[in-house]
Amino acid sequence: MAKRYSPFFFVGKEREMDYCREKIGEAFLMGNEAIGRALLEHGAFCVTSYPGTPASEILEAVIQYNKDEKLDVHTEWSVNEKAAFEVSIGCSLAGMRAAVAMKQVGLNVASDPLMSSAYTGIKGGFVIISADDPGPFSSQTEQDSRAFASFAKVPVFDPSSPAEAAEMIGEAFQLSEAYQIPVMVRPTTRVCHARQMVPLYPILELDRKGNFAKDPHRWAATPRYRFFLHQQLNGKVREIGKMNLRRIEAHSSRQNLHGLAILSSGVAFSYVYDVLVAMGLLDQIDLIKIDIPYPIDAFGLEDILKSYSQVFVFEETYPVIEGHLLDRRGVRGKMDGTVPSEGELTPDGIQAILESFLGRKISSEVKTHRAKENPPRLCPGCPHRAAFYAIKKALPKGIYPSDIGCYTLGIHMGVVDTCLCMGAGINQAAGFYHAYSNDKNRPPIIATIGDSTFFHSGITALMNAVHQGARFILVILDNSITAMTGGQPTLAGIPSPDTGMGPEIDLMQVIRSCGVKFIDEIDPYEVPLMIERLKQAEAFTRNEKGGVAVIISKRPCLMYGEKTKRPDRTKISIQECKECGICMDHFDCPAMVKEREEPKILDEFCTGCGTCLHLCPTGSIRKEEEG
Amino acid sequence: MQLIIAGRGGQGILLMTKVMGEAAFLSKLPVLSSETHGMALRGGTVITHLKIGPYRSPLIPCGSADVIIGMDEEEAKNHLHFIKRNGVVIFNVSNGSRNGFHAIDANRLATDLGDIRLSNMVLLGFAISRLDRLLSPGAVREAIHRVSPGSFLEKNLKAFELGFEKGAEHKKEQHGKGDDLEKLLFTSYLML
Repeated sequence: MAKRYSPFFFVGKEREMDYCREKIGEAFLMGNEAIGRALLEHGAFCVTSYPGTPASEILEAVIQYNKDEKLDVHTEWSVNEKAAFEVSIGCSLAGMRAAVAMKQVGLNVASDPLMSSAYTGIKGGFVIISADDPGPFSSQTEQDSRAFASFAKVPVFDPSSPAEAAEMIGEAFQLSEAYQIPVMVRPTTRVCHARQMVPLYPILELDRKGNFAKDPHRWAATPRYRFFLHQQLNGKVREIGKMNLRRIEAHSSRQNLHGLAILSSGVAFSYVYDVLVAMGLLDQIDLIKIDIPYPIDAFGLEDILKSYSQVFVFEETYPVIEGHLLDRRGVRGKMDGTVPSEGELTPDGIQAILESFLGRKISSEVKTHRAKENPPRLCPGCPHRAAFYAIKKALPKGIYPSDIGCYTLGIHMGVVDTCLCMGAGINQAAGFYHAYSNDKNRPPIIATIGDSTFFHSGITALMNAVHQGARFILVILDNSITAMTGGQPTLAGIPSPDTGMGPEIDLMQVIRSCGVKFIDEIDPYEVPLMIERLKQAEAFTRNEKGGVAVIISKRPCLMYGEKTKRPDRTKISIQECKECGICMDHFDCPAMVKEREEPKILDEFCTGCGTCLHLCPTGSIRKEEEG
Repeated sequence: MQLIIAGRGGQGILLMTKVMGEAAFLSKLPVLSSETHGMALRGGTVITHLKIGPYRSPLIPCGSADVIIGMDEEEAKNHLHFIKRNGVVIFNVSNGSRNGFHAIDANRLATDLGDIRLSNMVLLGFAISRLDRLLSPGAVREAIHRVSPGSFLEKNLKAFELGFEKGAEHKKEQHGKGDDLEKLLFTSYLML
């Protein structure tokens, strides 16, 4: 039975959708896969992204479905989030539906076009998926993209499950086109990486062709016209905020048995729901689900809530919904300290808060237990370890600014001193140089950055450092892939079906044209050579005519490269150990373990990279002779 | 029925969870799971939650998991706060000395099959021999077919069968000695 698709029931400008939706099956999908699929089910013609946990699998899913269903959707792993955002906006201005996916800190990089596109508006439906990471598990902040949406004045959906995320993608496209406004969908890690049964609908190919209608006062608005665009934007936000009330009201049961209401959104709603079921309170406390945490008409919300004496708010991670509440008497949430303001919410935490409020005994035996976790480490045979080892050996008293990627794990080897945000390491290295520039005893400064991060936002930093006369060594850890997030292609590297269609970008040429005079490319497994060249590079930074020296440490990632193990694999073992402890304390190789106080190399993990042969001062780490 | 699956990055926890989830899905049971990705995958702790039943939240609260499956003993122990009273822990013991009712040396069995990376499927087979009232081995085989990367399908199935056989043997030996897991599974099954 085909049903006219119109889930966005409160849109005033209710329009008959020009497509039907008929369920064709269901699948056990991860949130990100469900989102990727939904983009295609709603006619997205262009989907762009830069990888970042927990958002990476969204574009991966789109690429997979695009291939499986023989579609012609433009997909790209862009050089960074700003580029991804702007490419999709361009597509939208030409009338096509487009979407961009990224992690929350990626939205910081793309914030410039976000703020401005809210003013200009869009043409074809434009959806921004910004995945948050409360915890945080794989991020430098716990920032809340919903707060960013309210800062930019764009509506934001907050899905509570994978299936709902898929549903909201369709609504977001519809809202976006109805109001000509970018719309955000904000899943969190627990939605992105949860799996559940998700209904499948046919892929939709909209009958549209690129058709850009010129309108310079809008698309190229000068400040004078920006004032009017801002007025229009405020009008749209007011209208959507008012209609949001109808949706909120539809979600509230108004039983009001305890005079208590719980407002909740996102996965926190799912936690609260299960907790209320477990406590036997589901039909006694009004649980009000907020699908769109911004915009909400604050006066209308007050009317809905005025009959309750207490209102709890559970949301991740910032008090966005709570911020809409005008009368804060009787409100319990993050602002009064009832709900923790950092970390992810958990079912246990929510249950304890409700039990304590209702005067019940706290049931959870372990309230704040956090399991002892083993930290992630660089893989055995990782080329980064070899490069880090050479850096430490060649220039042990250095300052080591670094960046974001697998190589941040070099922190365990003592060769990563800073990790601020994408591309910051190079600029920080310049800053360190300027701080020490009058000091005769200036320590060596060695910055490290991965190839993907260098393309993302290292190039402008390098140009600036060279032009401003900074002096330091930059080691580009080129493993030819974006490894930490699951092996997405870079602008030059291991070829894969989702690599860009155009030519590769020549890294060496880019560096040369940044004005760098000392450049070399070395295989990090050649440890002695690497050490020697690092020392030469350091001398260059201190020469009269010296400047920034760049060494490209080039070897493909073992996980994604063609060969996972070297064919001429040599067996390496430890014999006649003098127990100096250097290998265990400074090398951080998962293939090396201590068994009964003695270091040992686990053959099943060892890749035979041979870097550790250079490590042992007593020569106890040896290649096993054949035969 | 709530299961925690714990281990280290690279041990195949995600595939194992996906197989069990898919098997539940194929058995038309409502199922939810939650995974760890990204930074945690480089040898760090990986834990997944698998919930079969009418749940909405993908996370398992402390003290309420029916089963913990541990790809290594240390990780299984680190997550014991999840287990409920009378819950069961099934884990992989590397040295083989503790080869008992709920423990199996999956690493050695996988190495015997020629690839230590198959230990996840061996442990899965072993666990399913215990959980077969919840997830039928047939559904799990079908799920392995669906989610295995092509070159690994045959090996995965073989490893699964080996683990399942070992589990069945142990089950026979233990028969009549107060099988707590059987009881637990039965009560959980009634709740579905």
